[in-house]
Amino acid sequence: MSPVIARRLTAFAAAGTIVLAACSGGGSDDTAQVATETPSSQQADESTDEPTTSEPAAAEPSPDTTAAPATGSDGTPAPEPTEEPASEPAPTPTEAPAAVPQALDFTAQTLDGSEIEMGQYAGRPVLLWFWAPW
Amino acid sequence: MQFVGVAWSGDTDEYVDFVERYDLSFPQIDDTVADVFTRFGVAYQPAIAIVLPDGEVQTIQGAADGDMLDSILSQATT
Repeated sequence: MSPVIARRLTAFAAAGTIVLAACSGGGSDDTAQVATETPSSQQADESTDEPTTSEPAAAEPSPDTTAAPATGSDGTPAPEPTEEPASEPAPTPTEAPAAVPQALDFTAQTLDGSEIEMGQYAGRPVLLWFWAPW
Repeated sequence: MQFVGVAWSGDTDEYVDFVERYDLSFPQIDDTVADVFTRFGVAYQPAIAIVLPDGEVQTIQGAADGDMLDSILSQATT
C-alpha cells in the first residue's frame, strides 16, 4: 500500500516537474528551471534505488508536489502577456503656465489690507506706478 | 497691460484718500516700508517701472508726460 503511494507520488512529482520544465522553458526565469531539475533527479534515484522503503520516499516528494503546482500556476502564460501598454497611455499633460519673472516674484499688502501676488500678472506687461499722496 | 500702484511716504489713510479722490480703480500696494520701491531700485517718486512678459524691467524716474506714457505703453503692448 505505502510503496504504491510512494511511486504514485514520485510519478506525480516527476510529471509536475516536466510540466514545470515545459512552462519555464517558455518563461523567463533560469532559476526556476534549475530549481525544478534537482527534485526530479532525486525522485528518480530514490524510486529506483529504494522501491520498498516507502516512508523516506513518500516524505520527500510530498513537498515537491506541493511546490510544483504552485510554481506551475505561476508559470502559466497568463501573467506574462501583461506588458507595458497599460502604463504607456498616460502621458503627462503639459500645461505651461506663464513663467513668473523675477521682478514679479513677490507679494505685497494692498491698501485694503489684503495680499496681492504679483506673479498672477505673469505673461502680460505690468506697469507699476510709484507715487506718494502729496 | 496690468496697472499696479505703489504708495509710499504717507500712511494708509492718506493713500486711501488719494485713491478715492482720483478714482483709481487698479490695485494699490501699501509700500510705506518702501519694500517694493527698493526692489525696483526706485529712490524717489513719481516713477514708473514696466515689467515686460519676458521679465525685462524698464524704470523711468520722474514725472512722465503724456507723450512719454504713450510711447511706453505702445512699446510694452506691441
